[in-house]
Amino acid sequence: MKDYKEIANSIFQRREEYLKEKKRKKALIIRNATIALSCCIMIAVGIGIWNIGMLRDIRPSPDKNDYTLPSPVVTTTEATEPDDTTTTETTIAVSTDDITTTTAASSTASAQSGTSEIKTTSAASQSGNIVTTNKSGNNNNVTTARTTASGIVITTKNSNSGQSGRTTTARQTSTTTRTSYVRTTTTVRTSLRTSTTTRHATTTASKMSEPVYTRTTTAVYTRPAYTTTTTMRSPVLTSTTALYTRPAYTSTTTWFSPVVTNATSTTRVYTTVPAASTTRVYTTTLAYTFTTRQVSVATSTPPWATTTVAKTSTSATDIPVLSTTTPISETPPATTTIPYFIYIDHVEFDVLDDRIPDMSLVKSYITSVDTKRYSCDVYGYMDYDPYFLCVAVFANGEARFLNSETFDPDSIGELIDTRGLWNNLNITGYLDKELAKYQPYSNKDSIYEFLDTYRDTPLYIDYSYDDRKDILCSLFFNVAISEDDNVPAFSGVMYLRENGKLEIVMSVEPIEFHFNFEVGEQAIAELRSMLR
Amino acid sequence: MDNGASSYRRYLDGDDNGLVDLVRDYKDGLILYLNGITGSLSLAEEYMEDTFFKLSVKKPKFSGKCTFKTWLYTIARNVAIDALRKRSRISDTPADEYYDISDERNIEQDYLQEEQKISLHRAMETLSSDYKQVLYLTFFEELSNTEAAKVMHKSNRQIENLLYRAKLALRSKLEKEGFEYERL
Repeated sequence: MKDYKEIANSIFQRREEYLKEKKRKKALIIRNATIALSCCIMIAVGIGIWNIGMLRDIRPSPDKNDYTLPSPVVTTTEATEPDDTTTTETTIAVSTDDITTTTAASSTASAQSGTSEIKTTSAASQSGNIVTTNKSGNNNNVTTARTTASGIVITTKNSNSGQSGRTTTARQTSTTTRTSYVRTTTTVRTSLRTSTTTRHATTTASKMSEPVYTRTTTAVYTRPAYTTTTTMRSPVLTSTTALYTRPAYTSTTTWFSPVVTNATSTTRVYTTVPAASTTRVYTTTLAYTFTTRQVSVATSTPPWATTTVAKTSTSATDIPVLSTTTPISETPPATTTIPYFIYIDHVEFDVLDDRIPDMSLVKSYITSVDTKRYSCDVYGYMDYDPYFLCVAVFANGEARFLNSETFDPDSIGELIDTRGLWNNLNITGYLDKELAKYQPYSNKDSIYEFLDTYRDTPLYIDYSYDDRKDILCSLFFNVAISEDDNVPAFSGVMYLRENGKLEIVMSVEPIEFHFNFEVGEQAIAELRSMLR
Repeated sequence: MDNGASSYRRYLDGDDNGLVDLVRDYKDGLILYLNGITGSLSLAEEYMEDTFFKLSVKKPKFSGKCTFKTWLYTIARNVAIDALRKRSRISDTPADEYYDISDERNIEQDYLQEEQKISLHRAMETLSSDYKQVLYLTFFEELSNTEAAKVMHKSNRQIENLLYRAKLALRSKLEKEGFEYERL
């Protein structure tokens, strides 16, 4: 029998153990409850976020620089000459941040026998941050420079002395904050011989679609064509190149006055002179961004002798520019490859400046679902701007349409002037909010007139794509794979939104283009009434 | 407030000696009382410890509506009944069961002191549990019928009837053994 003290001690010992165990259980319960409560809160918050759709509102930064991939453009101009010619090869590279440069190269070859004098002039003027390196000579001279720039790349290729010539112009316009790698290479081979043999020249990279719907542009287009583009932003004219052909005592002279007032528009002038005999086409394109004065164009027919002259000035206000080119032969040129890069799903591809050879390859894409294709060649397609639409041909023969994210028009005008876009575009119908019924509509001329009226409206960035509550009217369209075949390559919608906003959406793989413009409420109302 | 209540108050105020005093004053009475319920002195001792352990950790509030002894015996009875209910599911016999007789005699000697009471307590061993409880509470702990009714969770009338029959049974038993107890 235990003493009462032993009993009391036993009770106290049991009490301590009990309290200790109770404390441990309490701590355990608190810990488990904390974990469970945290999980519950996280689940509740997650469900809440899911329900209110917060994740869908998260958009990437509107700053394009965060997502811009470098878009290097390399343009090569090449002319084929007979083997027994002495060639002059000039490579010009221009480096600048803000490309407002024009490279003009002209070659003059006198018609002499023997070792005739070859004079090649490459001129480039400097504006802003332009750095220009010129080098010329009678023999093979190569000058290479590199430039970091965005904006415009101009490649001019001239050939003299009745030899074949080829001019290629590739033009890319993007925001000036983008850093691009631009390399301009001009190769001119000049024959020593004077010959009246005509050769053929073709335009490979910048064949122009017929600008049928251009209001301010007059264009006569015949393929193949020489295209020369001159773009200036500086009030000082940097350089110009004008090419014209003088077949059989005809000549084409182009003057323009680079008087600068306000930079408000871009003017393009296309002039075509019917070529005599074997001469088929030539096209002269002058483009500059800030002049308001129209270019005067005069055309004459020079004799067969060919001269190319390019003048470059940095201060003159009225600079006549004269250049002539030889008639173009019927002989097709050798295939010229103009490689540049395009990014598709973060994979870099070479774009070959050639037509897609087989239309069936393109059509096969429409029904193809195979996406496990990695090795491919990318081609330009029909008369589309390759930055806007090109075709990738894979090793297994399949092909698919692609576009480049470098396609970045700055205004409505640049969008509707995209080569190959509007002439292949078909309006199908619209859905008005008030009518609440789909209405067929096919008059694309009226749509073009409307857009052309507001062609200077700049693009603005708007990422609120999911907010479709403010759509007043949706105008549907598709773009066919060619003018001759109405199979839709892709479709698009023009959203007429409240507050005078116009949004044009085109779903071209792998990117869905969204272009937003503020045209004003009156314009939106006008377009809606026109559709009705 | 009796001594038990003041000791319990001291314990509630943090003085563990209050509980030691309670154990000292009430352990034997509780053992004998619980022995009447359990029929086993070792279990009675164990339940007595459980009773004080319950007081020490649960610290139930003593309202003073009855005497502290009544309140304590009520707690002890509940503890014993609960334990017996649990124990009924497990049939085992503690090893120290064989030492109950000698221990019980010591407790009787220490707690009851009077020879007549000791003889009476031993005569109660063969009675039923309720008879033993009511007789122990009224004869040995000297509780009133009301207090005994409170401890045993019965009404006064039930206690009176139970006490009457218990006395009758005990008297019959004592007469057979040749004893005579004047209070019966």
